[in-house]
Amino acid sequence: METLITDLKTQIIEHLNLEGVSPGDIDADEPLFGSELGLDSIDALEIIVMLERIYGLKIKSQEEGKKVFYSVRTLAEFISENKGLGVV
Amino acid sequence: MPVIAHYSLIKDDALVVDGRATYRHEDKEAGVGAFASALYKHMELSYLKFFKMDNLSKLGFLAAEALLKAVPDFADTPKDKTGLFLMNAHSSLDTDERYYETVANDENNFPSPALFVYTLPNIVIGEICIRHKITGEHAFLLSEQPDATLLCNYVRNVFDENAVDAAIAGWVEYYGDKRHALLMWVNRQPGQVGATEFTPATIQQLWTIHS
Repeated sequence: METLITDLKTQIIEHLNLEGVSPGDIDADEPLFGSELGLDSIDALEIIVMLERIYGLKIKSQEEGKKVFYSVRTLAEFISENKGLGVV
Repeated sequence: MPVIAHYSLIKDDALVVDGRATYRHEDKEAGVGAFASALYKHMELSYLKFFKMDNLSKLGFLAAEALLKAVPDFADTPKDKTGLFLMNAHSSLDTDERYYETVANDENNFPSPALFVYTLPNIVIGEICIRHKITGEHAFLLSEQPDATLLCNYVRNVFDENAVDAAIAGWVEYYGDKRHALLMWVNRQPGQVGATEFTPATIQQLWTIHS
């Protein structure tokens, strides 16, 4: 799981052009949105596209999206559960 | 008659403000991304959204930062009476092409939302307005060549109608890694040191001497 979390942080930084942010700056348990990262609705859409492109996963509903996008850890758990990876 | 009180220019590797070169990038061949990041750091800016902008917006944003830093009374200028009128030849074609690449392949079709939102040239106006809280009249004009007469007539008409007290006007172009931005601060205060009348000839002169 920790490897997946680190990979996700790196992918988020790269896909969202978070200049000057390193994986260590992102707390896996802190809210992704409304935090110091300054992410907005376009970033949320980019993460949706990222999930589909890299992991082949789709968010089925707004409610599910709210839970999945809460933090890097919830994202990692969603990927892990839906890809059948189990705990890495 | 409105006057050009200040101007900023970004061309290739240099930033010029009111005729003085204030920055020159060490690598003349650097792409716009490296150039823009270096200039951003040089200007000691802190605005996270900058790094999400497309190249056209980055160029206009930096030119506007440099320009407005040189305008001493900008803070006192009513933002709802400040206009923004830009022009270029290639619209947002650089980003349009990048976005097209994300949807062109049927087997790898993942349209990028972050690119899509920049597939209009007037987004650069929006970025500058958000940054500086400008809410006045605005327009983005397209012309194959810098058209000083069109720009001048348009902006003067807005002044004549008392829709604005001041304006940022100029050319912001980015395509094929060619970058060129000339932004002018235009207002109604004759007699300012260094100010020149806002006419097609003076605009053309600024374009010409820095081409």
